[in-house]
Amino acid sequence: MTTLPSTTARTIRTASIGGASEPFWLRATLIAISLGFIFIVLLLPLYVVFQTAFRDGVRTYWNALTDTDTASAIQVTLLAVAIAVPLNMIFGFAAAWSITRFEFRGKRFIVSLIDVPFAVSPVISGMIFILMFGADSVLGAWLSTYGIKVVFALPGIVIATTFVTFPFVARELIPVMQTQSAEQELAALTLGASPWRMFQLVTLPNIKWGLFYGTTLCAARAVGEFGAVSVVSGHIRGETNTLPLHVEVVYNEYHFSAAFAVATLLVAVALITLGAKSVAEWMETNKTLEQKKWAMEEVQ
Amino acid sequence: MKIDVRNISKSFGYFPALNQVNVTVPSGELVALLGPSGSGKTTLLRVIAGLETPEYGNVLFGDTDVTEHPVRSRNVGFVFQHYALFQHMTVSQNIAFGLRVRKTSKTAAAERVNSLISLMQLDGLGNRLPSELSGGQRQRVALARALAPEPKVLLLDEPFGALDARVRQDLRRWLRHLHDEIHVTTVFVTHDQEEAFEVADQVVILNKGAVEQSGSPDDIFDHPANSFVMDFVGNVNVLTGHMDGYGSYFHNLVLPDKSPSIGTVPAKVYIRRQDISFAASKDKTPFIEGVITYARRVGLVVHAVFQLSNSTTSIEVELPFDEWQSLGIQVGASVVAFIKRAQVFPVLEQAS
Repeated sequence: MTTLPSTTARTIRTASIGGASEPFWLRATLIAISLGFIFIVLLLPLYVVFQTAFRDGVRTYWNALTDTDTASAIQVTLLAVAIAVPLNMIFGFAAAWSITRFEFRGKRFIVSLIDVPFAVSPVISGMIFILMFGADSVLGAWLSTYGIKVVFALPGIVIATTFVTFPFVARELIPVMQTQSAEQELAALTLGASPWRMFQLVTLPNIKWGLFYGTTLCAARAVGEFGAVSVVSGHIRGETNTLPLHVEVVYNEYHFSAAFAVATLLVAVALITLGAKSVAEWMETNKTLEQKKWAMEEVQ
Repeated sequence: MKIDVRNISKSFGYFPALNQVNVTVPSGELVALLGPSGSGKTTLLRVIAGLETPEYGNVLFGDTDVTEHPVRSRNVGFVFQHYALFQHMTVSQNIAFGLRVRKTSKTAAAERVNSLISLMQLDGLGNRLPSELSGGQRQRVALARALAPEPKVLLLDEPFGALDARVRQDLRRWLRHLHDEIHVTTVFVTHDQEEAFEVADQVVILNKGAVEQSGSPDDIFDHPANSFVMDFVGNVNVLTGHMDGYGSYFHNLVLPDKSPSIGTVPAKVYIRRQDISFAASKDKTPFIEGVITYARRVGLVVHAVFQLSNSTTSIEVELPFDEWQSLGIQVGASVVAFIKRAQVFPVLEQAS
């Protein structure tokens, strides 16, 4: 071929703008650094977890998972997740809704408040709950007269988990709902829909992937939360240990293989979250692209 | 269904969006709310729909006071400026939405949707998503969706604002045609006077949250109520003159307009570009003399600037190219101009 068609020439040129403006050695070094980093920080630990978990054979691995204390830890964790995640879905949606659909004083303040659990160290938030609900506190003393124990019991774990995972759903929904103008919702109302039907038929389909992703992140964090829960749970074996706490307890007893066996469960949760995140993002991007295409046509 | 807007006031914070507005839309008519941006026209439309709550005043549909009724029970069809189509639903599902939430039977709904699809010339597009449609098609889907539950009134917010000029022209006539067919009381908001005059039976001109004038397009064009309306409607020359109890005067002219006033007061003289013509001889009165300082042909018309002799005042003139050619005038030529029509408004103290 002697002459290149003009389109091909243009493609080559764009590609060169995208990638080849830096010298080869620089690109190679940068890519090597990031790959090396990913290998050391992410892949190697993952390998070590599984390697250690199966070091003493599949039987030890299986025994560690079916141990009564492990079963109890799984139960406590699942219970905490089952309460904290729905609560935060409701809180998160209510917060995102009021922030994106209403104008009121102190809105910015509320937006910053949502981030408090991210900003405060989990250990500190755990200690705050000890101070609030502990036996020495007014609230704790009052509750104990009714036989309700919060600290060093399941309610404390649920409260701590809920607090720490509060921002995820709201943080995910606010930008989604901001880009989705309220107009479609108003249109539904003018067409005679009740607020519930509007939510069901218009709002929910528009935010479902954002809500799904936020909820997944929230659940993953609820399963894996260590700091705050560690402070309020009191580490009562077979009673108030969650999965991460159980891993620590077993590890401290030098049952490395068993500790890592339980840890593989947490790794599995992380991998599932990652998968869910990719799906949600892919669906979201597809939708955004479609909307962008739409907006572009409108301009033309 | 007649719409009566009585004494409506509405403000956003300290900004008064509507100030004691009264508008009546006769049953079955097509009325345009026309005004510059910030005039409160969209707010008024949203108040009628129930999307905004007024601080004072009432909205009546027929004899029913609907001021306290929520949006969903007012039975209005509302078309948003950017259509607000449900993106995750097909064209048919969009149109059927109002019927679906009213629990209309599936067969009746399907029938209604099909008849609207053919009325709106959307045949074959029923299974498309909004993102797969052109702007004009989306607009028609939005209209069909609003009309499906047989609303008492149809409200359109800048219905052609997001479309390109060509499509806008077509849709305008088409909307007029559609209204002649279905006769639903319709109010639409626009900032484009040509659009308002071409489509509407009645035009309401709003400015700074108040009604400046309402009437038929001819009425507003021929008898503008005040200087704002005159200025807003059409391309006008604003000149300085004066008036007394006997007539209005501009330069050395006594103008055909004889608005009464007490004593001699300064006045603003509004002359439309099309209301001036030229002649080579002084055989008509009244006339003014001057020089053509600029002329340019734009298609079938000529835009010219005419400077008065012994004055720095210039007047912009627009006349048909044929007329211009038959007069044989060139730039720099001395000509005589006749003023066919002028509006004079006294200058109020605070306005000067």
